[in-house]
Amino acid sequence: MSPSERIVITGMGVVSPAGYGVAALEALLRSGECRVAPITRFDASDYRSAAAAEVPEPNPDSLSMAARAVGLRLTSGYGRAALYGLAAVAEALAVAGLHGSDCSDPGLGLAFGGSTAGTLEAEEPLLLLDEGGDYWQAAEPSRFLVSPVGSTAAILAHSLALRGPVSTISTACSSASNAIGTALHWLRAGRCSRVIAGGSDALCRLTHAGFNSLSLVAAERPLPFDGRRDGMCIGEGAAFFVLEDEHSAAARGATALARLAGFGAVSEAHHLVQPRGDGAGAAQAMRLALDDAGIPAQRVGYINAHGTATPHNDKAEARAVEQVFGPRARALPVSSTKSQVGHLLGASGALELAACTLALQHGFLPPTSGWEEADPEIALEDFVAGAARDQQVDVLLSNSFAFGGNDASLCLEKL
Amino acid sequence: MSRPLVTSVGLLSPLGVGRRAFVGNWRAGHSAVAARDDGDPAATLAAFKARDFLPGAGSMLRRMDRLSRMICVATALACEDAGLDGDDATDDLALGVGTDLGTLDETWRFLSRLRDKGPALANPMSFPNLVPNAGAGYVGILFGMKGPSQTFCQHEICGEEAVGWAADGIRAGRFSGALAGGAEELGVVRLQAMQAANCLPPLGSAGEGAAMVLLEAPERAAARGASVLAEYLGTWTGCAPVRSPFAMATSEEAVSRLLSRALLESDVEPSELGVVMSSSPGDVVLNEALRRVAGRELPAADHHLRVGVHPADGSFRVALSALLLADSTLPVNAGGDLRCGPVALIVSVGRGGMHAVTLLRESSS
Repeated sequence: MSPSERIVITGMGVVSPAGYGVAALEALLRSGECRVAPITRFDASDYRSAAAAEVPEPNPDSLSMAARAVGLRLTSGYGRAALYGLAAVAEALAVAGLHGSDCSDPGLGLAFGGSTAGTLEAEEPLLLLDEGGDYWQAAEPSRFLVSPVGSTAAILAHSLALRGPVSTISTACSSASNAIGTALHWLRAGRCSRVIAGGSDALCRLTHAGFNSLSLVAAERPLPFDGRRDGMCIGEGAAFFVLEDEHSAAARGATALARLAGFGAVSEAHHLVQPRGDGAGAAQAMRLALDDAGIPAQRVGYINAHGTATPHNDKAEARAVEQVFGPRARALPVSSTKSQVGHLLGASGALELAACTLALQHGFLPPTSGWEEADPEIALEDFVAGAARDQQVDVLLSNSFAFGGNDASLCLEKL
Repeated sequence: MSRPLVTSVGLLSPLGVGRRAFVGNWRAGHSAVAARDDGDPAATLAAFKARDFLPGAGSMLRRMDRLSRMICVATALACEDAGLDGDDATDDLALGVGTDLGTLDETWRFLSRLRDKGPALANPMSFPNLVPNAGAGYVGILFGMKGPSQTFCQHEICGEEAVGWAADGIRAGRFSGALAGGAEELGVVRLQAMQAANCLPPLGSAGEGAAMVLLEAPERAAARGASVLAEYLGTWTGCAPVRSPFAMATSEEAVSRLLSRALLESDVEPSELGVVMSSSPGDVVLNEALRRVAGRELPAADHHLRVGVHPADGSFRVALSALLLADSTLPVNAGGDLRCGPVALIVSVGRGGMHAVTLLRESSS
């Protein structure tokens, strides 16, 4: 495997609150609809907020057909995060023109980002733990084994019969972006010739309760960058990409969807849950992504923001955009896909990169659903309010910022 | 392209806190594995006061979970071992941390409180500690580290992955220095579930601990006059199809493939291998694969019998390798074997068919 410099996306698969498949996500992005609704997965009636964006139940037949088409073993017993991941990987392989049998090449790696894994499925057995000394003899240990975050990638690797490198990166809400950035580094260094990269997370009580306890969850829906915003809503789903060298993709006749041009990551070294108010860490991540891509800031035509809709985060991110883009920032289109699908936590960076890839491919900007009122403390002006806008851009950034002050930014370029 | 150097270690181990204490106990052949009232023998950390190692942490320690404290203390020990004591000595360092289970017991306590007291009384102080990168976040804050920070969680190869990622970043010129390692605590949930699921290694006892190493580009190390423990040649990872994504099964093919590639790419002859540290020293398949590639039996570390094993202990074995390569009189095991060549080999096998191979070389400087 020789080192590569130009890395392209040749496959993409998505499971989101819009449904199964990239087409469902594209339709939702264009519509500007918000898929946040009352939680059905568990009883959330006692919570400050009972709103989240859930993935609709799949049609089992169409799902297994999609998996079979690429020779993938689709197993439902491992929990939702794994199921979403498997479905998204199956679609990504199909789009890339690959079959499951191609995955046994030791040069094919898996870079996974996530945070919850099978927590939803493991919550009940964990809660029974202190009810008796013989618990583990009575319980099925496999229900616990899906809870460590590395288990999702292990299930994907098992289903694909992978032989190459497999890595799980868990840096909270920037997990998938960091995984995709890691895949970029693997390819550039010649460690792999092709990488399946992305993330998957499922809604669970733990994260919903946790963000509720921090008073970070919106009562009804997330309104990123809006003066009325009162918090985030959790979403769920998965997105995966097939990444490879541009020349080898062309040699096998694969269609490149976009170029993954750069990746930047920093630690804010400031606070475990709050971003720096001046946005300096976020700005540095964006600058590093552009430097890594060798692309000047003037060429950036759109930013898919982290945009959680929490009062503090959106303000800090807007200041970061101002620092990087100067006077241009005011009119630069900046939107948050979380306004439509909620916050996919560890998978959010992958889902939002999928939205960005669609934007470059089809010439539209994903919207900030529900944006109506300006926040006087946010100097940006173009949030692509309401519904998607037809507009061609050549270069964009996708931001992901996380607990632990972990900031990541990915740069995509149109081919 | 720089070959990263290991210039310090930070060890929070059942066999001693800090390099000096650990090396003394290791050299003396001691074991920290002891009987436990509530289960099989295990190696646990003696009580440690994080405040003694982290004087600047102040009230942050009250919010910090035990695993994060372990990671922060091991980081402080690595900084002390390296002589990094200036205000800005760690500003530009990258950080790689490996942990498979993270704060599993803390998660269990959070959920139990949620069940018992309801959502209104869920603990907002503990929730941020439940993300696997909480420890890395605290390190970043306490040590002012603003470089890239990644937390790796791929089961039993996570410790080696974290250090390997740091080495790759130095080699590619993304940063010139990094602290990297891993940590795992021996909690109720882990111990009982692993025993019930038959996920503990076939030989050895359960353990816990944290190990961090400082990796530096040669120019950076030379500029500050750092003493070099070892040269980090790299980490190679791969997967092998196994019967279950949760199965702990060694693949002779995967070990041979990774080891052959590691030797080739790092320009190491099998005859140069001088010590092996594997995650499963009693694993017959693994030992046969190693013997075949090395062409002979290598002196093997017996860490599994003396500090126990845990999913992130690949980082401990990296640190121990660096110490063995820096001091040829330090025995590899309690039997007194010494390394017989300038290259240390670390092999980790993890659940789901995960495999990792790491090579370190004796420093020429």
